[in-house]
Amino acid sequence: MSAKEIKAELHERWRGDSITSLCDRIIDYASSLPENQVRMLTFRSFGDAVGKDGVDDELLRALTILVSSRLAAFDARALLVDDDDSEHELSAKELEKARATGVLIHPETGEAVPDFESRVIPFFVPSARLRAGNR
Amino acid sequence: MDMGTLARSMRARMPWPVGQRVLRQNELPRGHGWEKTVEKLSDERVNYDYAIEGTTNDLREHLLCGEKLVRLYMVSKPARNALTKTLQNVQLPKSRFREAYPALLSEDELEAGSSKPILISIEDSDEGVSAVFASVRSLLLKEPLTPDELPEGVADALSQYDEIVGIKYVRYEAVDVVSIPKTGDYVGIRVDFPNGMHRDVAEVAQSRLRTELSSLVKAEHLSSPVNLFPLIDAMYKAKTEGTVVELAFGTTTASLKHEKMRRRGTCLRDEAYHKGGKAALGSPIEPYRLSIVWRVPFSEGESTPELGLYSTALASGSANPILTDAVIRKCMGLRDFNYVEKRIEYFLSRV
Repeated sequence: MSAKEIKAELHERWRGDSITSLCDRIIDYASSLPENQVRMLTFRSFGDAVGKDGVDDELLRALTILVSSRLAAFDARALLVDDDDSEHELSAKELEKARATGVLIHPETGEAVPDFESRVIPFFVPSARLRAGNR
Repeated sequence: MDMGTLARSMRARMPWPVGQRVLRQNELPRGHGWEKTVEKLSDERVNYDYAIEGTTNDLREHLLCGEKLVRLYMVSKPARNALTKTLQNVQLPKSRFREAYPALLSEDELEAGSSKPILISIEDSDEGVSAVFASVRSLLLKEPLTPDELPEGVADALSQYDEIVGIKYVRYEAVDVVSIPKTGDYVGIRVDFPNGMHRDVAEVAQSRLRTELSSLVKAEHLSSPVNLFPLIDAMYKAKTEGTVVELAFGTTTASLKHEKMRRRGTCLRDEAYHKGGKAALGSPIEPYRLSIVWRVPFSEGESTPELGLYSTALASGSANPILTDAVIRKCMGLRDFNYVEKRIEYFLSRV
């Protein structure tokens, strides 16, 4: 499915909702970059791309639609950052399990990470669905 | 030896991905993290006898090569043979370390332990001889504390602070190794270097082990450790050599950069920003810190051992920069550790 098709589906499902304009710009931004430059898209990356000063409710809503709905244009991931700035990528499944159980197991040490939410950076990557159309 | 004791020793030493592979290989169950895994394996109602021998061997092997700071010494074949023969015939002193080996003593058992290395085993294999030493070392741990973990009055007194951190020194059993291979030119001194250990502690450990070895064999076979600094540039420039996950370098534009990229399968050499930056310069970058990862196939997948060559901008700028330490991590056993050492020796033969 291409970016164009995802946008068409977006406009069909959210017809009349002004959020589609912001979603379009986010999709266009991610689609315009080579694959090696969309490996870690943060809230800030998207905010800068669409000209916002910071992360606001509108941006959060747009990303929720693009990630969590059946559009599935982006996959959500997370990065665990240690005190020494070492970074460890977490899968969506690992983070989901941590949030459900209240315990995040450090991927390197195997020990529970205290106060893990404060050490996790969310980020996004184009989904296979979005990437397939861009090849 | 029971599985609970082995599991606790594994937890004390092995990175979680390595531990999981060992457990999988020995058909042992895993829990959510080490704590739950040790709980499962300590359950006396379950019979894990089928896996004791295999797990013990894997633990022993990991002690020889897991999370080490390594120095290599060029030693002639006659001297290596003499060292090997002496060590094969040396008498092992009695010690609690030796009785427990390869399991490790707990912090409580270490209370009266020695910081001097004590010989606990001679491991003889087709590849060579390893003399294994144990000692007591300290690790500094920093733990964030929440107000509800503190006594009431203390919590109130500290309420103005956003974050409270507790610092403690934890004793642990360090396992260091002198390795004399049958082939190759180098004797290796490998000291434990877990995450969180200060480099100065490893430096002292290296010195103590060398002294102890000389005392044991009543000879001095080791001169100066090999300079590994030239390998930083050589390995970085070898495009097909592993994956570069960390690089620090200076530029002739008077800038110091420290880049890290640990996303699976991606190499800093090929990263767009790194390549673009280099392309803008008229002179090569001058690397002084490198972390490189390889994929080594195993019967049940692959391991990803990592080599760290960590010099400084200051050393790099000197007329003759010297780096004697190689930090080798995330090895599952001797197979991937030896692979990394062979790569070091390969590049040493070419610089």
